[in-house]
Amino acid sequence: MARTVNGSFTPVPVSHWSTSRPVHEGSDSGQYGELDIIENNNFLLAHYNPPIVRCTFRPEGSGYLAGAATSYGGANCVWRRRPAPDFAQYTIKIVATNTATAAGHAGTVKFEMDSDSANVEIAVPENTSDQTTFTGELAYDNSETLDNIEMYIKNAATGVCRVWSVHIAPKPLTALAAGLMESGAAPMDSIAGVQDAPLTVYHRELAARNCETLRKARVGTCVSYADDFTRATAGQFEATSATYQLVAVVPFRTLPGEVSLEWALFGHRDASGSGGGVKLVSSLAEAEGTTPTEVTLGTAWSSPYNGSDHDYTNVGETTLAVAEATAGHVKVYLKGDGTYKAWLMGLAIWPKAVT
Amino acid sequence: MAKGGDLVRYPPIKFDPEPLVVYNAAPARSGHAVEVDKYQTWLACIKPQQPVMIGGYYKAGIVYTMELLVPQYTANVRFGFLVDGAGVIDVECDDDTYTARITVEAGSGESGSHSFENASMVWFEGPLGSAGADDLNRALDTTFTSSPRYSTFSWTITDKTGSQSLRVYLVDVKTEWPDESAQLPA
Repeated sequence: MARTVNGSFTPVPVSHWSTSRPVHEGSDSGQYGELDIIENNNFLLAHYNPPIVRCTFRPEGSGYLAGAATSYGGANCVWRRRPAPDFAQYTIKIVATNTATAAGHAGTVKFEMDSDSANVEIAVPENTSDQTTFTGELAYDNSETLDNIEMYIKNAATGVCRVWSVHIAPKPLTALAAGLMESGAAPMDSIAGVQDAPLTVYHRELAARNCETLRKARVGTCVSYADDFTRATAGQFEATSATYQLVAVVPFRTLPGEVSLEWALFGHRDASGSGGGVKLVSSLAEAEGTTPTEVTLGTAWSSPYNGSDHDYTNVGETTLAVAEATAGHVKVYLKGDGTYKAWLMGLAIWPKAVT
Repeated sequence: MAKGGDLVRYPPIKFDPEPLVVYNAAPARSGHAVEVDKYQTWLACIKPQQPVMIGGYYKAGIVYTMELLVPQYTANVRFGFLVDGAGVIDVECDDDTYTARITVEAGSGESGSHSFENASMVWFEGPLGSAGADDLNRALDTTFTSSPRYSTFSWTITDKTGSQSLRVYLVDVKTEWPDESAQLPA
C-alpha cells in the first residue's frame, strides 16, 4: 500500500493496450499494467508544475538590479501572482554576479512573500565574476488568492552583487498525502492495482479525473516581467503621450478550456502629472471590438509597492477574454498626461483556471 | 527496466482531452485503461505556456543567461525573438555542444529607424539531426529524458555594424518534443 511518486514518467507501449487484452498489475510484475497507470498519475500530480516567473533583465547602468548597501533597501523587483494549487514550496533559480574579492564578502539576494513575510536568502559568494546560477526555496501560501513575491539585493562590505535573471517554479512534490489535494485531485494508492483485477470503476474514474483536474487547475504563465523598482522616475516601459502608446506585445498559447487570462501589474505616474494609465487588449477583444481592460495609475511608489499594484480582482479591472486552445496575444499600451510620464514597472499574465 | 511486449512508446496523436465515463457494465479490460494512459501521456508531453520575456528592449554587448525548467520529453528548445534592426543573435545551452545563430534583417537598424510598431517575430528553424558545427540556424538540442530538469541557456545580440543595431523586444522559448512519430524514452 503506497502512493508512490516516481521521479520519471513511464511510457507504456501502445500495443500493450490492444482490444480486450487483459490488463496486468504492472510495475513490479515484469509487465506493464495498472500500477504503471497509478504511478504515472502520481508522477503528474507531483511534477506538473509550470513556472510562474521567468524574467531576464536588461541592465540599465551600473546600479541596475544591484545591491546598493550592506543592508536591504526597498524591494528591487516584485511579482504579483496567484499561487499554483497543491504546491507550498517554490524553487527559485537566480543568475547573479558579485564583484567582491575579499574572503567572506558574499552578497545576498532575498525573496520574501508580502502576505506572511516567509522568505529565503540566497548567498552569492565573492569572486563570482561570471554569471552563475544559485538556488533557493521559498514557502508560498497557496491559500492566498494573489500574493506578491518581493526580491531584495544586499552587498557585502565590498563589491557589488547583481541579479541577471530569475526563474521561479513550484517545487515538485516528493510525497503525496491521502485524500483530496487543494486542486481537487486525489493521489492514487497502489492497493488499487492488483494482478488480474483491473482498477475499479471508481479508481479508473479517479485517474481520469485527476488528469482533467491537472489540465484545468495548473495553468502556465504568459509573462512575468519586472523592472528595477528602485528607479522611481525611470523605467523600461514609460510614456509621456496622453494617448495610449503600444509598448509591449505578449504572445500566448492557450490549452483546451482556457478562455480568460488573469493579470496583475505595477505602475505609477509622475506626481506632478494629472493622469496616466495602462490598457490591456487581447487578440480576441481586438477582433470583436470589446471594451479593453484599463488601469488608472496613481502616484504612490514606495517599497514594498503593494499600494501600486493593480489586478483583475479590482473593480472595473477585469480578466481578459481569449479563445481556448489557440495562439493569441495581449497588446500592452501605456500613456502619461502629455507632459509628465507614467511607468509600467511590472506585469504578469496567466490563464485563469478552467472551471 | 524494459518489460514484456514490444517497446513502441508513442505519445497520443491529436489527442483532444475530455472527461472519461467509465461504465460499470463495460468489460473491465484495456478499453478504459488506454484512455487514461493516453490522457496521462498527453499531459506528460504537452508544454504548458511558459512566460515570455519582455523588458523595453534587449541590446547588444550583454550576455543574457537564465535557468529554464525543461519539462520531460523535451528534445529541442527553440528561441523566438521580436526584433527590429539588423544583426545576429547567438543562443546556446548546457546540453548542446554547438551554438546556434540567426541573422536578422528587420529594417536597416540605423539610428532613428527603430520602431516597436514595426518589429517582426523571428524564430529559429527546427532541429537538425546532427548539427556538427556552431552558428547554424536551428533549435537547440536538449537531453531527451522522462524527467523534468533545469538547464542553463544564454543568448547574445551582435549589431550588424557600428551604425546598424539590433533591438530585441521579446524573447519566447518553446520546449518541444520531436513529433508523433518519435518514441518516448523509457
